[in-house]
Amino acid sequence: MISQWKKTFIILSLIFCMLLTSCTGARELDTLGIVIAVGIDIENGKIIVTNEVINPASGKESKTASSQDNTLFVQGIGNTVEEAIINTTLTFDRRLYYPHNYLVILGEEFAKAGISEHIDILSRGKEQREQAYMLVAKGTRACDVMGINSGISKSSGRYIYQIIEEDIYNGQTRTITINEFLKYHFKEREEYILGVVRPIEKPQINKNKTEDKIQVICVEGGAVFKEDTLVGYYMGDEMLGFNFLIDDLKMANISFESPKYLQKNHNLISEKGSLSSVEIFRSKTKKSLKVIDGRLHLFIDVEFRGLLAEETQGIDISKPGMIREMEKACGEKVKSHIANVMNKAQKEFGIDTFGIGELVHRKYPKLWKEIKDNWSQVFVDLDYTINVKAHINDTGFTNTPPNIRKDK
Amino acid sequence: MISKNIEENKDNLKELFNNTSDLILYEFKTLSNHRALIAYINGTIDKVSLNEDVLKPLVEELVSPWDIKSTVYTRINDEIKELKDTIVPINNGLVILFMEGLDFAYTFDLSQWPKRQVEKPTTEMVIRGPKEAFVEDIIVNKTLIRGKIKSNNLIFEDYILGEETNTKVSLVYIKGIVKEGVLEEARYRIEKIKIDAILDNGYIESYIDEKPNRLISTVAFTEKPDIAASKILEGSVGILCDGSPNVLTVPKLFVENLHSAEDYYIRAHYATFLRILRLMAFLASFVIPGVYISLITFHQEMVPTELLISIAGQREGVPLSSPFEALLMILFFELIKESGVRLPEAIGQAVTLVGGLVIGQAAVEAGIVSSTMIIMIASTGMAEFVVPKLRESIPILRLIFLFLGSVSGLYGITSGLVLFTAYLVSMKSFGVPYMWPIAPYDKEGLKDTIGKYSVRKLNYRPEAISNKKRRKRNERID
Repeated sequence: MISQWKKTFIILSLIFCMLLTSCTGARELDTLGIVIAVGIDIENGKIIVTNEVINPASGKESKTASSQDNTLFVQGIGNTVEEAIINTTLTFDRRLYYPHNYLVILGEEFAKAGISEHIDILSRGKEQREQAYMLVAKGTRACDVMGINSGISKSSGRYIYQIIEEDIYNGQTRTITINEFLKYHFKEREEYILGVVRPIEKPQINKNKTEDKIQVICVEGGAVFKEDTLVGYYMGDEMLGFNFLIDDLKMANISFESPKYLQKNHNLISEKGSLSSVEIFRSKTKKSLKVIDGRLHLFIDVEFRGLLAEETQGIDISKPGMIREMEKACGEKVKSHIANVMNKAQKEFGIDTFGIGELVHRKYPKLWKEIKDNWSQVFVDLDYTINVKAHINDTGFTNTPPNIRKDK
Repeated sequence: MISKNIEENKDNLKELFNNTSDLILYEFKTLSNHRALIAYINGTIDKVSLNEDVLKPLVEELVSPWDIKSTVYTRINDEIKELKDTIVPINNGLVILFMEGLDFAYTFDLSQWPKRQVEKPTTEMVIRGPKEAFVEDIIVNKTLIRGKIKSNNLIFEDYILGEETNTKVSLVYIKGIVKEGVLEEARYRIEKIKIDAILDNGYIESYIDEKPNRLISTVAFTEKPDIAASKILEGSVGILCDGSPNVLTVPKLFVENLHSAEDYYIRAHYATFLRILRLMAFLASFVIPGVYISLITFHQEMVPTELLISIAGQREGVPLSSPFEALLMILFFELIKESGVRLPEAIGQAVTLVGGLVIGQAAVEAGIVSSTMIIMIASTGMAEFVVPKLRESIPILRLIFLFLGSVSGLYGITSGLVLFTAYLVSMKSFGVPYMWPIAPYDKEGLKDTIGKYSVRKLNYRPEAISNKKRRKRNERID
């Protein structure tokens, strides 16, 4: 018979055996450098990793304004990304901690040199967070983009992150996380588009400041990769068309020319104003394929809903039939955006950036087997038809724009 | 043996009580010219009643020692044959009358002890419902229960326990509703008690608890007669103890810790909400420090970035490691709690103030602890007060979970919770599974567990506790 104490001892030691096998690596917060943004560059064959590390003192609410910066920039150089990260410990007093990293910025040179050999750590590293956004620094190095903070956020990384988070209102950008990026990376015959970030100089408006210019960050556009190499960019409206095409548009603004013939019926005051804006809040794109006369034919059917946000033409939208005409004109504009980006992909880059190859694979698996090796050539000559169905659901508070005066 | 001689009795009594100064022995002559002796303890009896109802009739009217019964104006309690049998009655405030020529003594119950009035409860306060509480006197307590349940089936069984203290202990139950097995077990455990002193029912609790070393008690207690009555009506056995303003009830279920008497008097939906709140508070009260420590030392990735930056900023410059910081704050909190309870009211205010300042502000400004830690510990403290019935278990559990969290992170917390649940499920109170009706499952019982149905729907008594399942209800058309 085992005594009570012995029994307790045995049970306790069993419990502790079980417990103590778990993660032994307890780390106190004040030994960690919390990284919020990472920039990767290549220079003379060496990888330079720039980390934006939170200065914990900035989180402390103190009455006296601290003169310390909210974030520090820590650079490491090495032959590989991991080596560069580890080398930071030679110069920095904290171990870098990556799970709170939400930006990975690739320098343009780095992107042009091909990224696939260096991105392994993004998926293999235990501490890497897959929700971080992947961005390409357009026309510059990653470390030149980092450190610009012209927003309200406390740090540069947070500033860029917030811009990306808020850009669902625009539609001219590409937000893609590491997770999504990897998904595209391993897809067959589809090239990926990463987000773009670039610095812009702007005149200083605040007259209290001495500098004439300030630098701001712009996230417009998308970086086009072929295989794993940066080949070019989609900018502005091309990106709008791209987002329509891949059915990833959340919100966007479409400015289009109001239909001309409507003007006759009204008293026109200003000749200048001829554009109208529609704010899209919901859109759906369906892509389908058909073989017509032995050739693949792509049908792009877009249907979106929006509200009339601005109208400078002097059209009385309350008149019957007007809204239909406006919808048609808006649809034509969207059509041209999509055609533009299709054109650029086919003529300039010659690569399928829209995942149409996968569509072929799904619908015509046998055909795909034949053409998959020279899919790029097939894609370049692909015929397509775009159908756009626009709905303007809301015309705002006013019926008559200010450039219609009733007495005239 | 009681002698027919008064002098002899007097000497023997003096010897029996070791010449104690508060034993009053008064000798007088009755009308029939017999010598008589009364004995009582000073201060325990009603002297007016003694004079008017016993002494006066004896001195003025008694014609023969054999007429005592028809002469005195008060009820004769007992006739005692042996001198040593007078010890308990005299100590209980009874008056003993010896008569010349009689070889036995009469006892009169004229006891009147100094006692507290029935007052408002001090620990189980309610907004709605009865506001009376038990007092130290067992007779009053019995009356309070009888006042709630006026039934011929309500039975009290008296015991005298404690070799030195001779404390009155009483079992109370309702015949027909109580489970025979539970009652037999309660009787058996009470009779088995061999102890020299019982000053509070805490002594009895540790004797009748199956395993008194357990973290969580399997004996319930209450200071409110309505709660005691409701338990007894559900089939529990109540244990009253003289000198204790609480009544024990057995068996006890875990869910009783989360219940309040008021739950039955207020609307069901609000009672359900409160019970869910109490359950969460119970969990929070011992898990929060451990979870917090494991989050900031093992699983920093799980904390939202902004919060982590804020916590990191506060941790900056704190000399202690997080687990010790938490331990320090927990001890500080326990100190404040304990001093608040023990100190006289006048000083208590000052202690609370100083404690609040020391913990709330100075400690943070001095950089000994971070302010997030104070929030964590303070919230556990608040949560602890929501379930006062478990206040003896929660601080220990909190330390255990703090240890688990700081040694092995959330893995330790999870393992701890699993083990704790297994521990709870394995417990039994007087043969009733402690976690009934959750494990073992009982559908009817669940109507009054965490969720609380309206009283109209509670047509069954808890099956595990009571003998008779269906409550007596008037037929009602739903």
